[in-house]
Amino acid sequence: MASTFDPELVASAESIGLCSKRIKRLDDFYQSYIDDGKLAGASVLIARRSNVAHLAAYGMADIEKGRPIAEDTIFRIASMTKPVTSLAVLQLAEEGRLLLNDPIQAYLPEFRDGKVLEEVPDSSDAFRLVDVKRPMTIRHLLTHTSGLIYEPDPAIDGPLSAFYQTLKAFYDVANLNCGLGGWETLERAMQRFGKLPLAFHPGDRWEYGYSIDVLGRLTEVVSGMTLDQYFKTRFFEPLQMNDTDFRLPPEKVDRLATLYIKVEDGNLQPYQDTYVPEPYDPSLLFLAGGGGLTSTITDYARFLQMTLNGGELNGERILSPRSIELALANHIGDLNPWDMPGFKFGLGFQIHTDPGLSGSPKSVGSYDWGGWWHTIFWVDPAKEMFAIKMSQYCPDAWPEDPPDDFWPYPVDHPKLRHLTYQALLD
Amino acid sequence: MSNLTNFRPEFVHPPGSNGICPKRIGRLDGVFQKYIDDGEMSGASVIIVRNGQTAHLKTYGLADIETGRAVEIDTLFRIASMTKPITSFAVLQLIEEGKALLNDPISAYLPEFRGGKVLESVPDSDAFRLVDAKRPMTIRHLLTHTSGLCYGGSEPLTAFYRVANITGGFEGFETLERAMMRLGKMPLQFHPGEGWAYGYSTDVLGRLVEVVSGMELDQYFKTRFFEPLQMNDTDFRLSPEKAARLAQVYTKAEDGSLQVYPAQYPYAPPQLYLSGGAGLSSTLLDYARFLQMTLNGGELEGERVLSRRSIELALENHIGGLTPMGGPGFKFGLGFQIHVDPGQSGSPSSKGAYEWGGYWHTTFWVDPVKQLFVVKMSQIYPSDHLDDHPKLRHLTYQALLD
Repeated sequence: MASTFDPELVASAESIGLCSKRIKRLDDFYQSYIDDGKLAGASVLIARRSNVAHLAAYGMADIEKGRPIAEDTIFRIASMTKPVTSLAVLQLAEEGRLLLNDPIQAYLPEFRDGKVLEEVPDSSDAFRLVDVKRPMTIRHLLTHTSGLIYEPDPAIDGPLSAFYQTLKAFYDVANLNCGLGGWETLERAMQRFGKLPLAFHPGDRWEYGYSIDVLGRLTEVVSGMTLDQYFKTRFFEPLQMNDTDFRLPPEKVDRLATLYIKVEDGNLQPYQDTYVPEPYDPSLLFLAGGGGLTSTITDYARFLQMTLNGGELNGERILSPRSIELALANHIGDLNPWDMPGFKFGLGFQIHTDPGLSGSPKSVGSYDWGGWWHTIFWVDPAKEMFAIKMSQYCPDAWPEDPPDDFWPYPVDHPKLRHLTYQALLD
Repeated sequence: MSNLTNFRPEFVHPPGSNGICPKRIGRLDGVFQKYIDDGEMSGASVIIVRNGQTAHLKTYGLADIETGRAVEIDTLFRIASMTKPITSFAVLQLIEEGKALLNDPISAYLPEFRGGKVLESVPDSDAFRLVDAKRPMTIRHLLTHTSGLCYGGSEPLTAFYRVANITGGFEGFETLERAMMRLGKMPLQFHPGEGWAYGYSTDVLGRLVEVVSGMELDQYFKTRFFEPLQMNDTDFRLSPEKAARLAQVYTKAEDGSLQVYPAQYPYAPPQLYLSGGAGLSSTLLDYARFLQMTLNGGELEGERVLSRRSIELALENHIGGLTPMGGPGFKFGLGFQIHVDPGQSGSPSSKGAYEWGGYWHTTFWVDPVKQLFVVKMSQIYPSDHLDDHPKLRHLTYQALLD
C-alpha cells in the first residue's frame, strides 16, 4: 500500500481523517507544558495511512543557547533502540542463522551454568544461588523474561527489599551501568553479564533489563559485524535513516538536544549523567542495543512506517510480513509487563491487548515503547496510524525530602494518547 | 659494611668465602640438575648472597625447550606475587612523605570502597547473607592481607568474583582505575582485621600509589625503585627485544611431558592493568638488588629508598594472633611473611627471616641473622608436584659454616 512515505511532507489533516481543529488541542497542551517549565521542548509526529498528518516542534532544544527544537533535532532515544535490535534478531532468524528458542549460551558461552538468586524460606535476609531450571533462550531475552534486570536502584525503585539489595550487590561488582552506553566493548562486558545471577528462572516472570544488550552482542557474533555496522547496512541505509547513530559524528553535535533535569527550585537545568558517555564522546565503546541510539523524529517515523507496512518501506524490504506478525503476537503467556493489566509483550514491543483492562484509548493490537530520556511512540494498526513524541528530560530527580505533590516525571504521555485519538474522525 | 656500598650480584666470590662450604653447596647443584634431568621442570636459576657478596649463582636447564634456549643469568621471569613487596614498600614511601597513614581507611583515597559489606555464610547450608562491615578497611589491612579481599574464595563468594571478572592479576585489558570500581564493591570474606586471606589487596595498594602519587604505577616504580636501584630489567610490559629473553612457562601434561602454558603476558598488548600484586617481570640479579636494599635497611650503593625504621616496621608482626599462608610459626609484616618460630614451622631459616614467592614458581627469602638471602627463579604451573623450595632451604643452610 505504501509505495512512498516521506515524513517531512505533511498532508492536510482532514485528508487522512484527522480534525485540524481538534488536533490544535495537542499544540496548546504542549505549549502550556513548556510555558509552565515542565519540559524544555518537545516534538510530535502523527502519521496515518502513510502520510504525516501532524509534525510540530515546541520549545527549546537548548535553553541556554536559545536553540529551538527543529524537525532535524537529534534526541537520545534510549530504549527506543530496543525494537531495532529485536528486529535485527528476527532478520537473523529469517536467514536461518539462529532460532528463537535456541539457548543463548550456544552463541555466547559466557552464559553457561546460569544461576538464579533465591530466597531461603523462613529467613528475611539469607539467599542462595541455584542452577537455572531451564536455559535462557533468545526468546526469553526478546521478551524480558530472561531474569536479567537493570541495576536495582533505590533512587528509582524506592526502598529495596533484602532480595533486591542482595541482587544489587552482584550488579555492583559487575559495575555495568551501560544500559544507555558505556566505555567498554560489548564483548568485554558480556563476560560479566553472563555471570550475573538471574532474578528468576528464565520464563517465570517479566522484568525489564539488559536482555536486549545481550541480543546486540548476539547480533554481532552471528553476523560477524559490529552492531553499528549491522544497523547501518541492514536498517539505516535501506530505510534512509541518515540521522540515527550510536556515535554522533562531530558535524551533528550542534543538532543534539540538551538533556534537562528539574532541580529543587523547580527550574530546568542541563543534566550530565556520570554513568553515560555522551553520544559524541570518542571513548564510547559499548553499543547498547537496549538503549544506545540517537535519532530524529522523522528517522524513527521511517522505522515505524516500515513495521506498519509489514516489513517494507519505499520498496526496501527489511523483514517479511510474517516476522512482523510474529513480533506482535503475545509471547509471555499469562505474564504482564510491569504487572500492567491489558498489556502483553511481543518480540521487542509491548502489545495492547485489552482496553477494558488498561483504560488506554489505543486499539487492540497496538504496539509501543519509549525511552528513558522521555521519548515515546506507539503504532495502532487498526487505525493505520502511529505517533512519536521526542523530548530530553531526566526523570531521575527525587529530592531528599520531596513535597507531597512532588512528581518529577511529566505525565504528558497518557495525555498525548487521548489528545491524538480525540482528533481522529474515523 | 664497605662491601655493601658496591653490590655486584653478578660477581661471584670465590668458593669458600662468606662462610659457605664449597663442597656442601655442590649438593644444591646436584638436586636442581636432577629435577631437570627428570623432566620435573624446564629450567631454574639460583642466587645466594651473603654479607653483600654473591656466594653462589647458577643456572640450570632451558628457558625455552622448543628453541633450546638455556636459562641465562639475564633471563627474564614473570615474578608474579614477588611484585607485592615492591608495591608494599611504595606505600611505605608515601607514608614517609606524610601523604598517607597506615591506619587510614582506604575509602579516604578510593571512594569506591565506601560502604563495605561482608558475606556471611549460613551454617550447614549454601545460603549467605550480606552484612555491613564492622569497621572500615585500612591501608594496613591491605598490606597484611587482613582486608577480607581474596582471590575468589569458595562458593558462594566465588560467584561475586566471577561476576566482577577481575583479571587474574597478571595482565589485563582495562586500567586499575576501572577494575577498582568493581573490586571496591566486592563483599568481603570476613570483617577487616578478623582473618587472613591472600588476595587482591596489593592490587588495591597499587591503585592507592597511583592516586596519592599522581603517577601511573609503572612510572612510580621506575622513578622510585628501578632507576635508583638499577633494576633495569624489571617492568610490567616488555619491549620486543626483552621479550626474547623471557622464559617460557611450562605445565606438566598428563603424559608427564612439559608443554608450553599460555601465559600471554607481559608482551602481548594491551597491558593496561598494572597489577601491584602480580604484574612484574624481572631477573635474578634485579631482584637481588631489591632484596639487598631491604637487608641494608633501605639503601643500596648510596641510594636510600626507605628509612631504616620503615624496614624495621615492615618486618614486625602486624597480624596479632592470626596465621598467614605459611602456617604455624609464621606471621605477616607489611608486604612480607615473617618467620617467628622455627620450632613450630620446622623451617631452617632464622627467626626474623622474611620471604615470599610467585605463582609461576619463583621464591625468595632474606635471613637478617645470617646476613643472607636467596632468590630462585623458574616458570612452571601448576607446581604442586615440586618440593624444590623447601629443599632449597635445607640445601642452603646445610652449606653455611657459621
